[in-house]
Amino acid sequence: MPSPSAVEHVRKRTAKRPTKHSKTRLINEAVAAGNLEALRTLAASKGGFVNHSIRRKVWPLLLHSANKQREMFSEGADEQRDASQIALDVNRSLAHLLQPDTGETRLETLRKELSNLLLTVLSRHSYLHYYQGFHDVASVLLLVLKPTLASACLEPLALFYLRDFMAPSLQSSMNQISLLFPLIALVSPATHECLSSIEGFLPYFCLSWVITWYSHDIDDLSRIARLFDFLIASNPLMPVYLAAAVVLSQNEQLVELEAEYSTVHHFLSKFPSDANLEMLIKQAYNMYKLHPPEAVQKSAKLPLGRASVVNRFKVDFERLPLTQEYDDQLPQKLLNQHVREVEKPGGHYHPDRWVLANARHLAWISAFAATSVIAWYAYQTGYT
Amino acid sequence: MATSKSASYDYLIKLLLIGDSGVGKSCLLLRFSDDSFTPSFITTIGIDFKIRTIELDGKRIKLQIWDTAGQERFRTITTAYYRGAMGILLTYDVTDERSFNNIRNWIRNIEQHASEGVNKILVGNKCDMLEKKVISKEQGQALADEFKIKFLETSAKSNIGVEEAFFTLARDIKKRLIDTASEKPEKPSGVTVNPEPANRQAGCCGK
Repeated sequence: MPSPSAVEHVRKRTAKRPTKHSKTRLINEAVAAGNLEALRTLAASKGGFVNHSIRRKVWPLLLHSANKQREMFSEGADEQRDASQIALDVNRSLAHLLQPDTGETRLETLRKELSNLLLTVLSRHSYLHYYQGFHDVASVLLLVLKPTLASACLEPLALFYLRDFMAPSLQSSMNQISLLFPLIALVSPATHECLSSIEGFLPYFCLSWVITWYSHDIDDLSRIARLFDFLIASNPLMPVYLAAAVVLSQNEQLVELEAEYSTVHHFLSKFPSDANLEMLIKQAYNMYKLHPPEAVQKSAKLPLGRASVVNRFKVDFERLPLTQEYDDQLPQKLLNQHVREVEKPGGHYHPDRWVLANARHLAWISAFAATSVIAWYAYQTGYT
Repeated sequence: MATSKSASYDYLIKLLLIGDSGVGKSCLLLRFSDDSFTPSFITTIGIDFKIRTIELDGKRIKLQIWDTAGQERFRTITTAYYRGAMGILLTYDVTDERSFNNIRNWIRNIEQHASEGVNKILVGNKCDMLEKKVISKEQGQALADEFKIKFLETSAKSNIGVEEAFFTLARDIKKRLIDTASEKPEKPSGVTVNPEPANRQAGCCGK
């Protein structure tokens, strides 16, 4: 485990606005020392992991996949439950992230690799359901890490970061996204008031940001990779904190808009092309420190449930020592254990929803109790 | 600014594009709103709209066209927008039999969630791909007849039938909601009338 003083040392040094060169040195030192905590700090500071060649070293370390080999999927692709949807999405993938002069043959090769990558992970864990957007995340890994490393890294990403999005339905994704407005309420009550003044307004506008880690909405691979540096080093709810930072960064335009659903949805749906990512990261990081996921869930009265990646991350993944491999069977065990709460709106326990869900039983119990009381009263007063 | 404050129009009509994943909903919309086509189109995640203002019988009609994700898991979001739609474009891919067969499910979905009397049109896209075509025009027409809705084959790529599809639907909606309503004294139901476009509501929380 990294010593606190080592972390402090890195913090002090990164605070001095390091040049690219000195930042590279700090990252290399942290890699050599196996200091994951220092790497997480460096991920949030300016420039993240600087370039793809460093990312190829650091991402697998943070994902506990540096020495892992995964056999690529090859046979029976068509038998996979989501194969046809994957084929449709893969056929429309990658072009926007590549140089415009990339040849058709190269694109085809990459798409084949992407398809294998997705099928490898999904066929190993049949309880993970493919969602449109998972292929965007996988595309980034493929382009930054190349096929073998990407395959090793996509699995822990799916199991310990994106698992909530891979449930059979959209509900657990929506549960995470539903925390956006309560989080904004904690940080900027005025902005929250503005958003909640719109009748029935739901944060669907940030769905693609969150479930694709912004890779669906940004066209520049190096900018996406910079965000991935930060998100790989953070709790799985961090994309929602980033979404809050994006909304708050547009506050001035937002308050000028007509308070009408379509107008505001349309405006917020566009990830600002000139967004200052370093600033957004810094804000999201600060928000996270001030209002960690447990606090947001509590204030929103929307617990995500005991099996949610957000609530399991620290124990299942973040605290793993560098040399220890993650337990790839753990998520399945968890889901089996908490199978009844995974798909419920608002997670595992919600008093109002519990009452609604058990209304029939409650009605019977109440009817029985009322009858007993009346009978007892009648008996006492001599009516029988 | 992304507001519609400066836009001038007489009526606002909301349309919804639905159909299986990959049938070309976003491409149809891009062709209609921006008159362009890109072969490297990306998957739609979630929901958003594009705008085009057209003129019908001397009236300026602003079409707000919502484009949706096709994958089954996003259906919960899509159906939340059915209620506000005045017209729906049911889209299939003429080279994909499954997308055609699924139109029945989509219609069932509309019956459950959309407003009563909502206008519909059946659209068979990718009609330029003659070699791969598996659903004939007659099959498309027969299905449309069965549900008593209009039908068109389109190609977003070759710009065939796209204008006609949107205009046909818009004209039907205008006939149903605006023309009939103007004969009566009360306001047309469902259509947003925009009497004073220049003096729209103030900002969201502009204090």
